[in-house]
Amino acid sequence: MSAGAPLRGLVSRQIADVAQRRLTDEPVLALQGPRAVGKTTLLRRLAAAHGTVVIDLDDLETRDAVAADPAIFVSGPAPVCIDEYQHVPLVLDAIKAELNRDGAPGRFVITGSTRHDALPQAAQALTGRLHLMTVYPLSQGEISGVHEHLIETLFNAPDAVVTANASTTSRAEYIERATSGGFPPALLRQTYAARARWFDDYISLCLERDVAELARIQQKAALPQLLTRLAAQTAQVLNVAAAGQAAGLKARTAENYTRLLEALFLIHRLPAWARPSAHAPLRCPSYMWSTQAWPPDCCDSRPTSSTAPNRPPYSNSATYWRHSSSARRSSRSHGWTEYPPSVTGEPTMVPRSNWSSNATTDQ
Amino acid sequence: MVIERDDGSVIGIEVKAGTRVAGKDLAGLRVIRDTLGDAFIAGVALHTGARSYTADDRIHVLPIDRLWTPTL
Repeated sequence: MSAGAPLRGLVSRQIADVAQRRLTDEPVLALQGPRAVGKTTLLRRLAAAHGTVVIDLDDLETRDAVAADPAIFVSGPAPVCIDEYQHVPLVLDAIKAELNRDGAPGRFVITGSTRHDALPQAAQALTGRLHLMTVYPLSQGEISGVHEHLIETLFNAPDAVVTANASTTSRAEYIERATSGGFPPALLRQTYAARARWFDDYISLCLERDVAELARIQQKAALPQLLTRLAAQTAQVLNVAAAGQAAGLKARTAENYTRLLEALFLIHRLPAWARPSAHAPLRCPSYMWSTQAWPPDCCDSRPTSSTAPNRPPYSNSATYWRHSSSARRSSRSHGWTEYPPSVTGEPTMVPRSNWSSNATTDQ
Repeated sequence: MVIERDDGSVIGIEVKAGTRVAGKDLAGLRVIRDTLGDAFIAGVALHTGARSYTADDRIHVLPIDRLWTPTL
């Protein structure tokens, strides 16, 4: 099967306009999301639009300078754009002090590859003054330059979704998309093997380096195994204890480690959906969603396989969840375009035909 | 998947890997439709087949690629 996806030039991200609009109300905008998802690109574009520059805390020299005297850096022209702020959490205190002096909207845009609430120092520093937005991997529409609006259409004119047009997407193409993911650096690679290698390296880096920044953990060797077990539960009812047991971890430890994986956006936990007035949730507590591509190791759907997978990727009958807070935010501000990856971005898929270079990537 | 808007309206999404959607695959969507009544705006079962059609009251079957190839 031919690989191939058009990551043509600059990928237009739906979240960019939303972030831009929110800067007119919010003093501090924090863009969080997995490493390499495109946050830096987004930040650079925001900075360029306002004629400011990005302070990159991934750069060791910059990091030292900011750590030595954060106040100077945070008092620059607005918006002050800080990349990977989690490297110098102290910068949040400096931002707070600066906001006490001048709390106008649009003062700061910061990005981080760690879930904000997982940073102990961050938890209190800017309570109530920081607006968090999560950047997810590219959606299929973003990859192919199409503005998606199926969710809006379903809400506004549900009958319009049924048309006489037949789909031309082949099964092989679906599998190709599902196994390719939505991370720009992976999408730029031409073959399945090359993408798989990128994902392997990505996960190693996250598990070895980023986890160490978050917590000191005793059973480091069990982490990759736990992640694999959890990924095998993708789109199923989450059973942390079982995954932990298979990785040789006690239930309590497995839960703690699972939270770490969530903090790095390697997995995504989706709560069960229930009406507030309902007596009980419709189904079990939560569901697993991998933030990577559909894990090919977990189903028989390697794109190299000539037979169709006999087990559907979305195996269980009906799985229900919601993200009430993000759903509400996005419905108010701009319809549903920013809706979490379960709808528009994940499992991330890649259209084929003319893979080209030049996509913007984060790192 | 259930998506609820702040006005309480709900859509349901079921995803199947097969090229056909059997009646029993729609059971979950029917349950939330019947539970929620008017608040249920639409349910869709996404599949890897080619056709789109309305299978039941407010329940539609669509190809998965309709997500990134809007027809409107």
